Amino acid sequence: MNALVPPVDHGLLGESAAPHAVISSRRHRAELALRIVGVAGLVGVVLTVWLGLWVTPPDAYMGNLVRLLYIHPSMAWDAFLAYGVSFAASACYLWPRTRDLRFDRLAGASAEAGVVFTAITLVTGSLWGRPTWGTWWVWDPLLTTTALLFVLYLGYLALRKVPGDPEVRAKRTAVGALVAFIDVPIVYFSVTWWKSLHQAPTISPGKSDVHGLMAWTMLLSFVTFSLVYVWFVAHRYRLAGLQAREEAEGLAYALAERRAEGGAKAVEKNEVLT
Amino acid sequence: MTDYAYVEAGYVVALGGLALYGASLVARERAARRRIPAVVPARSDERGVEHEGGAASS
Repeated sequence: MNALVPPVDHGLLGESAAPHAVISSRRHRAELALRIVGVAGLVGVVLTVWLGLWVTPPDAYMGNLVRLLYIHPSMAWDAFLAYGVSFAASACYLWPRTRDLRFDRLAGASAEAGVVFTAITLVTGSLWGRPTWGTWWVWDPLLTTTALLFVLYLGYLALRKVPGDPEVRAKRTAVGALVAFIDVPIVYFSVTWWKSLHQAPTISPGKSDVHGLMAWTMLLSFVTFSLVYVWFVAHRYRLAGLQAREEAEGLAYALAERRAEGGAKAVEKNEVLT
Repeated sequence: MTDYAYVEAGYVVALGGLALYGASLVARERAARRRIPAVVPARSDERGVEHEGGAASS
């Protein structure tokens, strides 16, 4: 053991309890899987852009603007997916039987990716709205609730930055994630609940308004950006683990150093007295 | 602006945004990995010899 720093449970993937060879093999497999996801995501993005911009035909009504269909809905889907994962991980953290700081890290990692996807959804939607509706922004139920979703999760990320005991912070932010998630079904159903400029979902269970190559390209975009989402979350989760370890070891070192200083001063005082 | 310009702008925003976020994640992770050995102080063994980081155990 280190002479100065007390042992710290790194808690990255629960490695501390497993033998070194098992950890190494598990890490190697996880790294390989992440690389495969990254490469598959990259290939998917290239294919989506090629099919979306050059191969698929323009729409009879929307013309070339339909090409935004291969970007905008998949971004919104990934935002929902991200917030769903954040919600589930937060619920797992709050449930006493499954309470583990790894769920807190997963919730934070997924929410951060969700904010990125929501921002892109809002901007690409605005770029689609300008030539279609003649305006960059309207206070439409879907747009407004999506903007609210973005702000809610920005608030959640800000809440995660508030310093404090990791357990208390995790509990506080888990409640925040559950509250923020209430807006997700409101965003999804807003087009059916209220009159909206925005069209109803292009694809919903048992119904699709696109067919043929356009439908396949759209499906490809959903799979591709979901892979990108997985890659983001895996990297952000690892980063959160490193930050937690840094925080814990840094604090442990500072405390140990203080104790050592205190001990040295006491010895010096005793030497002076004797 | 033509319709195609809006489409291209949408693709640039989406892919550019994702690329920027991905690059920031990799950079932050590398920086964190570089900082980790720094927070583990030099330690001394039984003979008082100092070792860098926390790789060695006593």
